[in-house]
Amino acid sequence: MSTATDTHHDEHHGPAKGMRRWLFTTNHKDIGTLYLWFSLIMFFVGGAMAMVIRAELIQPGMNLVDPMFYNQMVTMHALIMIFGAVMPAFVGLANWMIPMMVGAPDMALPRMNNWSFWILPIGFTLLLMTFFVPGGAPAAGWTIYPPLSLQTGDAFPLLVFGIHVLGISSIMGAINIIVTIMNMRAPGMGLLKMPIFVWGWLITAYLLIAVMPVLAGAVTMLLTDKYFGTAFFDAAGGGDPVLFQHIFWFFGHPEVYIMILPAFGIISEIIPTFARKKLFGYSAMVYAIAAIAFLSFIVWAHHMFTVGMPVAGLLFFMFTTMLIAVPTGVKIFNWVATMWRGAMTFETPMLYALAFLFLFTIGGFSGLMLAIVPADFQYHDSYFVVAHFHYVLVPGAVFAIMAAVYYWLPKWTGYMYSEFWGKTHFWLSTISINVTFFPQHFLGLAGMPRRIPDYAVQFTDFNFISSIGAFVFGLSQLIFVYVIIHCIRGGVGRATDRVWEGSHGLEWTVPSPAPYHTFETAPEVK
Amino acid sequence: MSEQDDDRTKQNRRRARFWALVIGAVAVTFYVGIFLLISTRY
Ligand code: HEM
Ligand SMILES: [Cu+2]
Repeated sequence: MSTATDTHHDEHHGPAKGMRRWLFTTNHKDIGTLYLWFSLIMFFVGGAMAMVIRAELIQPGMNLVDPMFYNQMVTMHALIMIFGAVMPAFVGLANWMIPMMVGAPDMALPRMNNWSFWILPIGFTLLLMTFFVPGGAPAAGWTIYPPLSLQTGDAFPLLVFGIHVLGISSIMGAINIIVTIMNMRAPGMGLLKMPIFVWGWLITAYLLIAVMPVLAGAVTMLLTDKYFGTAFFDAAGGGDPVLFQHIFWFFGHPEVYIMILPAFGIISEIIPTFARKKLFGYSAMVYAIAAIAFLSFIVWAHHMFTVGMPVAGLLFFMFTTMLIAVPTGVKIFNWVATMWRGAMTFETPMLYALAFLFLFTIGGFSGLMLAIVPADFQYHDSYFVVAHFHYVLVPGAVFAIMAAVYYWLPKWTGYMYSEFWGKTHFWLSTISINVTFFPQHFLGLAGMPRRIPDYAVQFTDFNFISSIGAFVFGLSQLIFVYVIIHCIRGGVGRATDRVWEGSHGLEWTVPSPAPYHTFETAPEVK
Repeated sequence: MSEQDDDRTKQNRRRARFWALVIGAVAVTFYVGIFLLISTRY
């Protein structure tokens, strides 16, 4: 057995060549890269749909697409952005960074990791195929409320199976992340020594395990209602359509936190680096994430204040929702305190982190307004809600992802990106995103409903402004792609191992670019 | 990979596989549970 050639393990050669490398890879860095490219592509697919929406709404009247297609755009835009762009981006970042941050050689279950990624394109093929079947793509909104969603054509089973596949992918990814963090840490890396990004993801992964099966169950029941004669949500058969909303939002509200807790983790990495200070209140930050995660399970009915609930229910969900502002406030104040008297510099990742701080907070405030029951009776299903969730999701979740990409790109590629183009991308994105979504608050307060292809003339001006902002934002993202490709091809020079003067943590102790295998022998953490 | 893991990592992965099964079982239970829960209403 032990000839000289036998000691020569293939695995030490680094990656395999060509397509096989990507199809069969079990390497956390390769899989992270796959997730991130997939997410970027989906960001543009979903973005193109947003452009169609804003083009239709640029002036009143039926301008560009027929109303049925408009509804398909609204529905698919949301599904693709949530399940295709934001979630896979965070999973990609988790794959790349968590093993390096905790000093593990790889994810705990590398083969399952490969599957978690590769069933994603399958799920999205199912989803995108719906555009080509009789009846067209799903058009009842991403919340797929029955009875409307049961009027979907042949797309319906594809949608349901698509969601199942994406759910299985998320659950397998979440399991892998949990068991990696719980079992693969380097000696000395105690739980309360882990980087906050790792904490954010650990808690997110538990949320995923708890709620993805609930979504899968809900859509399965829709499927059996439509095709197999059950009446879970059909009043005529003794069921209850409002029950669907309860189940959906029991999934849906934790889902929105699934899209923001990893972002909190990213911001907690970046601000200390560029303020050159330790994170203020580390353990408070961890407990705040845990508190938000817990509360996210008992607020779901704030999405359905208008369905006709008992007053006790309205009050309960109003108060629990407002309680979330407390741990969220703790986080915001701790980030500010971290910067207080720090030696700050404003490289692109820090700019994105700061924009996150300001703009996510605007989304938090509009959320608080929506949490007030009598006010929500007015705002519900209006553009005010659209403005709220886009503030938390775009300059919130998406900006955090961009911050993370700029922050870790030198570690991934070994080269520095162009600060000039990074900053250009930042300013164009930040200005245009506010031009897009700030006026939508006014539209909502003035009574413009969401999910409509046409509107009354008094809404013309703000819609025009919003559409222009959206086009500029869309175009600006081409700069992002340019910066990434330019950086991969050599950027503006080699990156050091530390990359940033103020960076801390195990991922900065390995060379740039990070070698194919890191920490095959665990580092000692003091 | 696993061939070149040191003993400590091998052991870690063994524990990880066990917990992965447990968590997977919890997820499946939630999926089935939601049907049982809803069905009790009728
Ligand atoms: C202080 C924290 C927050 C509060 C108090 C809050 C409150 C609310 C309320 C009451 C609604 C329902 C409005 C209505 O339909 O009438 C809502 C909708 C929404 N929120 Fe938030 N929210 C908060 C943070 C977030 C975060 C962090 C995210 C995501 C990252 C988010 C994403 C959404 C989405 C996507 C919707 C709309 C769902 C839909 O109907 O399609 N929210 N929020
Ligand atoms: Cu909610």
